[in-house]
Amino acid sequence: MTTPTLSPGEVDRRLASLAASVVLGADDSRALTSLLTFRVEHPRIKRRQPLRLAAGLALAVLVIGIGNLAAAYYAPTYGQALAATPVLGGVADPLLHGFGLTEQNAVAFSSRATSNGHTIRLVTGYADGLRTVMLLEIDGRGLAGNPKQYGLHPGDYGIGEGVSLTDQFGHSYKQSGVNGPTGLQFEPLGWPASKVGARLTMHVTGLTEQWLIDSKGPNAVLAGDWTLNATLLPASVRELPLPAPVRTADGTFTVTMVRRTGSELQIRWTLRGPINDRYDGLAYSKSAESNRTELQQLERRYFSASFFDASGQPVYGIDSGGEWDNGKPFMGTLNLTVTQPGRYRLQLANALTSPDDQRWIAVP
Amino acid sequence: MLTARDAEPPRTEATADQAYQFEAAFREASRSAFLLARQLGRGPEEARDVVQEAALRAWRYRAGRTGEFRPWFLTIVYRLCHRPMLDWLPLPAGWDRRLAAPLESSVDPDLMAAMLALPARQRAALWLRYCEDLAIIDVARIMRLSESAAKQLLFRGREALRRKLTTQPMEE
Repeated sequence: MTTPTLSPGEVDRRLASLAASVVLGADDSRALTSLLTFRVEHPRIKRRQPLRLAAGLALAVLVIGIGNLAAAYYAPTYGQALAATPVLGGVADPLLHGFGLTEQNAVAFSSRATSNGHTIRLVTGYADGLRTVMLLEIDGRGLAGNPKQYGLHPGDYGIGEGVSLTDQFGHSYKQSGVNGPTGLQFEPLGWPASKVGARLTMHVTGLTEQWLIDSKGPNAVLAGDWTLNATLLPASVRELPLPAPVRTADGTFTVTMVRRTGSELQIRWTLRGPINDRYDGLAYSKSAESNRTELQQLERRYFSASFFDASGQPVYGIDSGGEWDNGKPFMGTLNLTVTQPGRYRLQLANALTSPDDQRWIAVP
Repeated sequence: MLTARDAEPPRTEATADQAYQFEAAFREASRSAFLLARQLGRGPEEARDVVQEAALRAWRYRAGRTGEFRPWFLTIVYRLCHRPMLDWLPLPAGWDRRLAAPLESSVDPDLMAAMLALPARQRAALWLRYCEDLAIIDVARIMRLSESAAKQLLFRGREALRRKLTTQPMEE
């Protein structure tokens, strides 16, 4: 049996009321909530006030008098202010590894702040030429146990709404990369903090009630005022030698960058040639939707690199992928957690199985 | 938190008012943009990434906007949805990534299911016209069509929907 024939007007009416009845799942709600945090950097209004001569002179004397102290403050490397104690008791390994950290390269902090009845503790951090990472504990929770379970139970707060990070020179850092409720990534330290060390101030004005996001959406925020401090020196960045290109009938794979920083290895490569042209032809055609299966097959075979240690075990990425742009070479990225020095094998595509097509990278 | 600092054009000085206006307009349009990306087959996280990328582009090219913010912003989202997305590596062992569940309707699940069975272009056109209540000319602009082509697409989509809903078996 079938439904009676519908009139076009009836279809229109049902369509018009469809949007209001859409049910958003937990993942949709979370994604929508995070979109509401979009902010444009507001230009600061600078005001100048005339200084009296005497005040200026006094200020100059004061500046000279405290010069050494200031130097020690602004340049933690000089004052050796970093008591870099790599002791991270209580931080779950999956969480550390998820952020590409190890107990050896992350620095322990002890800064804590309480507001509105809740305490945030800055537990550990890490900085290199690519990113700045901060892991925090809220009311003693958020870093231990299974990271995937956090956020489901009452009292599982997250740092979400209104967080800023600035250094001693007034440089502010925006969030970037993959973030979790209690693990945040920011831009890499800017100059001069990147050279002399950064005294960072994190200011949090709201905690997200993670377990209520589905029901309360963007209103699941607990306001407060938390200020935390940390001192970090960035790990050095080292450029490693580039392996030779891999040339096949399908295209030329060229590694353009191999960079080692802390426990992270960053690899960039390009692919140009017939296979990239074919991909562009399919992806940018009017029937791209119907080509989806073939595109996915091409992506798996030619546009996905793998990295293995000397024993052949795969080394996993942090946030690796690639970009296509019509008419231009494919640009691939691998950001890997490599904790041990040694020789590693780079397979620039799953289709490249021949021993001659493998490239070896010596990681110091 | 995503910010648009890097998206600032090099020689354009934005005022605080512009920034606030942009943020307000984005907040109003973000749900529409997100649902459009979902209708075009993106999962929740992909849809969020697309809308964030669209917001950065919108801020960068805000001076070139003509007409209302929402259709203009949806145009950017629609085009980004048709670009290939990043192909991420597998997660470490023990971590998993769920498949994106399609949108559901609490009132008219049959209609939502029928919509999902339509070709993406028809689905997008119907969604924009009826669910986002946009004018046909706006639908045409967003989808880079002529107005008459948009009308034809909408007509064919409605007819396909009507046929699917008519031939669905009724519960006894």
